[in-house]
Amino acid sequence: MVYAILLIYIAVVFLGSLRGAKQDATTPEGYFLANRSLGTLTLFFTILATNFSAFYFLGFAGEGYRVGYTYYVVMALGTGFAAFSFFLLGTKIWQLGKEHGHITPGELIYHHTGSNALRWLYALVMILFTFPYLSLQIVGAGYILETITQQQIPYLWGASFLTLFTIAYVWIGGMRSVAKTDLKQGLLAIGLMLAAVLVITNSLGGLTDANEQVFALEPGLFSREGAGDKYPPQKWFSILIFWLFCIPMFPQIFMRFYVAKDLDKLKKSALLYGGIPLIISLFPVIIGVLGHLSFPGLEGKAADQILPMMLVEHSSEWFAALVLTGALAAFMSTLDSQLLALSTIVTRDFVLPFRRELALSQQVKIGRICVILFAIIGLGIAARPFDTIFDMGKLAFSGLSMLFPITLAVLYWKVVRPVWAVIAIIIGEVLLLAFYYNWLPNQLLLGFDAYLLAMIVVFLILGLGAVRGKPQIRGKEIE
Amino acid sequence: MKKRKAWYWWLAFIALFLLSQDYLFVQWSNGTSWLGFPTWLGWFMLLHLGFILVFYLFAKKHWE
Repeated sequence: MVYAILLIYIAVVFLGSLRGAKQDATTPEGYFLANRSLGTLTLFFTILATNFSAFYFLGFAGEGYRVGYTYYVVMALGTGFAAFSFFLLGTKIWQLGKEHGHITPGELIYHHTGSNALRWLYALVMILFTFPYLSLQIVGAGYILETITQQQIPYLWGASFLTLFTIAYVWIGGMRSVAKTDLKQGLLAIGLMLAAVLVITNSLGGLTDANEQVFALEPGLFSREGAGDKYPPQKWFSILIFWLFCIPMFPQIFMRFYVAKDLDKLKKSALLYGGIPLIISLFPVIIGVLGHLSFPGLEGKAADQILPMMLVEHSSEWFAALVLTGALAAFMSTLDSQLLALSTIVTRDFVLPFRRELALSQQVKIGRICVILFAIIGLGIAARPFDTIFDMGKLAFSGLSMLFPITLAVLYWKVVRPVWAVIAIIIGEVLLLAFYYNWLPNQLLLGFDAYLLAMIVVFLILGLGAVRGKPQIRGKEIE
Repeated sequence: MKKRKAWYWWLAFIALFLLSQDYLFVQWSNGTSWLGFPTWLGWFMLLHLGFILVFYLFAKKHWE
């Protein structure tokens, strides 16, 4: 039964990608941006599915298990606030992309500053800090396949199989097949997650009773600060504005701003994106918290598997397989978008400036080769996951958030000096890593998250450059 | 968007964010309420709804 469900799902996704291939895989705009023609629902689901990933299914449940219900607010309200940056950055990115034919984030940066150095650094940061998040999807796929087949498919085999499958349909169909797949996968994932909550709570005697039992066992999971006082005021402040800075900087989200058919579609997608987390973020957190009743005492990475463990414990074999296939759908919808975004960046920002004669079909070919290369690197990282899903994600997101000030300045400031922007990015990232690896004492942060201090420094350096510079000449043509 | 109106919207969004910083004005008791959820969860759900409403009105009138 488990294998039948998996096979049906794989067949449906694969046939969808063939349809995408027929429509527009022959030009870069078609392959990479679906000819900038996505409507509201497809655009919304491709943004949502791209963002709600292994981090949503396993990471939310795992963090719900470790920290409690306060993590729901962090993700729901925090992600809701991020919709504001769709207005702040998305509108201008969409307009400029349409006017000047930008396909990658780096092209926008180059167009407005005329600096290839800044463009390459910006693109490099996007690539490097996307890898932990990319590999996180593969880790999740490995965990899930291992659990639903009761170890018949070992972790690394499962991770490899799903990676190969994702490569195949991105190779064939490009952005339109990714977006269409995201729509199906997004609906599937949300519907099945709701069903999972209903089945598990029913098995535990109802949601109210189950919550009361966990409260009696672990009251810290019900405190606003979270278990172990995880979110005191400074951390709370830091984390609630964090998503606003980092979500639009995911390359796969940034490039979604280009693909909207018109501004109205982008606006409606942003509204949906701000609202939907209010409901869907609660599902995995509930399962994580209630996990203490069936599997008490899990620590660290072990808690990341609480969702599949609860499903196997509290539902039938076929239902667990169905829900976990929905989870696989979520992982693949993020992985495919990341692979496509990174391959586009390499092709357009690093290859094209040196091979201007490159035909459009050759660009698509290089993009496809990059998809394979990046998937293999991601699989290599996933072979030995270096942290919990939450912490792997947090490192990736913090690194990407350092690009927010540069993007804001390029879109709104009269003066952005590329040299100062390059220095700002390097110092911001070094500061971030210094705090992550404890090269600098955390007391310097006064309780706030490291990204906040690093971002203030990035803004200050950019501001100093702007004060000393002349307005830049905009409109450097993309080569 | 006229500058004066823009300030109103900025103030509305800043006010919503400040309301999410609950430690500034309330000390929640640790207990359960509706469906066994924590007592404070409803506050943040309402705040989220408020944000969606303000964002919708803003988008309708001024996002062009």
